[in-house]
Amino acid sequence: MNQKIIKIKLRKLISDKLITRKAIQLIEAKISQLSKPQRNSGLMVELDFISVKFISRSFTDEIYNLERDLLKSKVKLVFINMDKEVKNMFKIVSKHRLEPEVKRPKLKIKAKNLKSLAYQF
Amino acid sequence: MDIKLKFKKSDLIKPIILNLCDNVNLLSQLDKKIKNSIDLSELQWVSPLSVLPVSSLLFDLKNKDYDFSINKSISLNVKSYLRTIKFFEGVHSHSYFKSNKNYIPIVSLLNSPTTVQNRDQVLSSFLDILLRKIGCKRNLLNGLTYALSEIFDNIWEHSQTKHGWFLAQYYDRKNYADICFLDNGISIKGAYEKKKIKVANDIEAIQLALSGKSTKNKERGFGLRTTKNLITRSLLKGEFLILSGQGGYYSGKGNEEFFNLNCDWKGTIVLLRVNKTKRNINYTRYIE
Repeated sequence: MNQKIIKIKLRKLISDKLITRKAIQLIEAKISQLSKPQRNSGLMVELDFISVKFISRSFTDEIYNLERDLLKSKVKLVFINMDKEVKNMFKIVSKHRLEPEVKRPKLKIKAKNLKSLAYQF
Repeated sequence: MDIKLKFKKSDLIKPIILNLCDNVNLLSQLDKKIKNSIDLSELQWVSPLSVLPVSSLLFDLKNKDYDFSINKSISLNVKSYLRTIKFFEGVHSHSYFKSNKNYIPIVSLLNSPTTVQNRDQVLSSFLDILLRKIGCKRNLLNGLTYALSEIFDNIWEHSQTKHGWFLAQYYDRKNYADICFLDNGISIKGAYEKKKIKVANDIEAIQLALSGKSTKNKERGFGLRTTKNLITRSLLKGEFLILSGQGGYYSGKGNEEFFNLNCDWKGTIVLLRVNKTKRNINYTRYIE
């Protein structure tokens, strides 16, 4: 069976900086639009990062969530033309997703009223 | 009802917060049933932290059909500047941004599925202009982009606000930029309570957020902490302020303080003061 490839240029679809989590909905909508009537195994989605200068941690996390969700429908997600910064963020987020949650101690804070704070800032 | 808002000219952040609280309390006294007058004559110098909260409150009052007029008995310079930064309703698109200016005007973005694409583009344009002014090298540019992105995204992810706001000003002679983000949403405490995470008060909520506790899952919750560390602990030597509900936190110049406000800000305000620098900073050190 011929594999259908959907190509999405992220710079054109969103911006040269991929920032908010909700921006992932634009990719989802594009995939839905381009994959009709076929959205099942045999479909591959190629996310092109050409001219993308920055990707936030939040957006990267959402890309991984998207990848996971697409895999359930046996749709493969691939990434091309990622620059060093983008690759680095993917590495950071990927590593952290595998680590166990760290419980941080709760500090007892004695907060003063702002007016009575001696420290001037 | 006549009220006179307070604006103190100061390079320090604390006096501006005190005035902010005074103004929040004053504006809460306006009566919807009568004609109100708001006096801005004390406004001699505009800073994002002093003006953006007032803008958002006036916008909100207008949308709730409060009848008020603004008495702008202020200097021509200040009047002109307020007009330039689109006080008080702001702009909704980056087409109003000018790359040769030292400011980004007041931006008010609707929190709606229809504005998702616009938001990333607006922040991207904002970053391009402002960070060039600060004189960053590429690595630092990406570091600040990371920091500002996380703060910006928190507005849409957690606050449940109708509008997200921001305003930025670069001060040539002082060599720093003030970047202020704001929402009129449910506050950090409210966001935790919505997810059935118990917090005693706004201070504890801010502390929890700064420690990385997310309302959603473990990959979240890093934005505030890493942003704060990048801004204040790196060679940027900047200042970080967060106000939410009746609580606040400041970090900078080697100090940090949690404090109670004498007002209730319905939502969250973040101010970043970023110094101009030609240094190259490895921002990934601050990303956990």
